[in-house]
Amino acid sequence: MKNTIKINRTIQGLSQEQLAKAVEVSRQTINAIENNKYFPSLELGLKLSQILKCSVNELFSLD
Amino acid sequence: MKTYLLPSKFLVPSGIIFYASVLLGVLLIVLPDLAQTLSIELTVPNLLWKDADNLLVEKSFWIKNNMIDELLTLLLVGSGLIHLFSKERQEDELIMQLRFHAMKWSYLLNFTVLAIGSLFVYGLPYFNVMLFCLFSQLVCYHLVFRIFVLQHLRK
Repeated sequence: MKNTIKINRTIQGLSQEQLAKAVEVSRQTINAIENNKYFPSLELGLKLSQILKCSVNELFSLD
Repeated sequence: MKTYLLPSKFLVPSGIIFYASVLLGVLLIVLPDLAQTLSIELTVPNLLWKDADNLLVEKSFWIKNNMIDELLTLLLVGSGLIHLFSKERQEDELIMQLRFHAMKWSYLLNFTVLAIGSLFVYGLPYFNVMLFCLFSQLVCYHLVFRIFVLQHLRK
């Protein structure tokens, strides 16, 4: 699974720290998700899509 | 995400008690005389007294026993479980996944040691293998989980 979180985060002008705070996880977790080291739960995926103002399908896609 | 964990304020005190009791436990094994020095002798009920082996423990319901190892076991298990179920300072779903991975590795390591012990240790020394395996899972879990968390926080 790949994701476009880094791109969408940059578009929204958010740092990893700010995004982490908004979705109530650690900055390291955001970093792990962006680098495909960790696949988030559905709940976190939905929170990310809400903050980054795009659909879950735009954020995550299968390889 | 709803988790059934204790507040993070328990993490450090329970960790200190846990590692101190592990250290004291190791010292009691290495230095058997220490148990006599720290003796807390009490009269306690021996529930399976009919099955008791006369060589190891007297065959009666009420027995006199040095409770230092029993108290240390309770301290180690109690503090270990509180430490295990306390939230990290930044608890999130990735930390929960690390908990699961640490549990998986501690199971594997513990039962590998037990399997090797079962194959190569016989007689009364096998009791030491069982004693080791009784606590190694808890200790292993804590060590592996701490390594995983430190690796995660370094990134």
